[in-house]
Amino acid sequence: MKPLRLPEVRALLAQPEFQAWWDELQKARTALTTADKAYEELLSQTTLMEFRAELTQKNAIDTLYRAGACEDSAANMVFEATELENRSFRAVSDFEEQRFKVSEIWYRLGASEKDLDEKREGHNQHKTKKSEADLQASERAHHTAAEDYERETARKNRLWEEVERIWARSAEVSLLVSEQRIRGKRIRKQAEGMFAMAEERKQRARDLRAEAEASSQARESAEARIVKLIEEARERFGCAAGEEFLYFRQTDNQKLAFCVSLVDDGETYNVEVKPLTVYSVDRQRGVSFLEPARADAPSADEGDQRMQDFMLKGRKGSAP
Amino acid sequence: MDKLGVIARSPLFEMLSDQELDYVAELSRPRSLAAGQVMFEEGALGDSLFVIVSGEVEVLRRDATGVQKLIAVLNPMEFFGEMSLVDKDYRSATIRARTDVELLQLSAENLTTFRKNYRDGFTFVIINIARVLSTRLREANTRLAARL
Repeated sequence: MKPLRLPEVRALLAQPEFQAWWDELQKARTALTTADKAYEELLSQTTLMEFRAELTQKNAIDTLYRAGACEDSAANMVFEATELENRSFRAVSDFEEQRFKVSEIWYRLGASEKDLDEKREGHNQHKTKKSEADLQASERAHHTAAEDYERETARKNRLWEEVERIWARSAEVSLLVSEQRIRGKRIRKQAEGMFAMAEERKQRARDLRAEAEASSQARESAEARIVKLIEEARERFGCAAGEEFLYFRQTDNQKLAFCVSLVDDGETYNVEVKPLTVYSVDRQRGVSFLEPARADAPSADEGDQRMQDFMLKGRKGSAP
Repeated sequence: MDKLGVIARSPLFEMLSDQELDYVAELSRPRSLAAGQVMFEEGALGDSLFVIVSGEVEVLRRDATGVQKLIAVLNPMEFFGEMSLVDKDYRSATIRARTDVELLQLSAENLTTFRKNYRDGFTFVIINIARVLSTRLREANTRLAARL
């Protein structure tokens, strides 16, 4: 680190060689900032795309389950329809049996009615105790036959109603089966679409990750360029170099150094730091306390007329 | 922010030469406060004074019962925080931004740097502070006399 006076530092900063170096440093820093931003952006896009791919895949699996549920439901309905068909065969068979039974009772009822008419006519012609007893027996037989007919007919009608109910339910189930099958197909298609989209997103995420890696390389290269430029500054300008300041020993005071800011920072330091401004720092505190370097101070040694004027002139109430 | 323009117009830096004003501008740090934000509280430690660049600040002080009362409103080019620099005591009042405010901060350390380089300039800054304090004291005396 070479000792310099302030005008020498300023002269160094004004040299074309230093200006060229500074331009290069700024370019490298701009490249680093751009690469940083690009890397951050790509990394966030990659993460987002991976998450979206994963979410789409999960949704596709859920949708596939829903398609499976629809298809299962359709299969159950087919099974139910088959059951109903079998039940309807049994019900029709029961009905036919009952219809046959009712027909028989109907014939029996006709025969008993004929017998009753004959008994009634015979009793009217020859009223005897026997004919009266025969007539009463015939009336009872006819009454029983009529009751049987009525009861069995009602059962026959109920059986028919059951047949019709089963047929109606069977028709309903058969109609719904196809709808459920189509719904299952549609949902399966949706799931397939989602799987394809998930794959596309995975591919996009892989591409983005590759771009992010490329950007990371650009970042590393810009960082390396900055490190190299700082190293160069050390050799070319005879200074100690940090990332934010260049340091030169002060010729007139071993305990002090000049530092040249390479950054614009209004927050971190005790003064608002502007690029290429020269500050004076002591060796102990370094840049934790920056003093803007001045070659034209101090006024006290020269004796300042203003103080005398202020103290001695222009008092209120005194003559000017 | 035109730091030099503000500093050149502030009563705190009256009588300073262009070089001195330029140096003070270099030593000052811009700060900003949103409306309602407190710069410092009464009773806090402090080693900086502030010049108002834009906006308005309220000077608030607690009375004997602890109720905070507005005692002044300061405008651009006026300054505050100087009392703690002079008497090395705790902050005598709370400063709160009445509007969005931009400030310039000068720490005791930075003023010391100024003193090291421009002794008479520094003396003028101290005189300017004394003048303002003197004006305030005169006003307070007048108010006190009116009450007695």
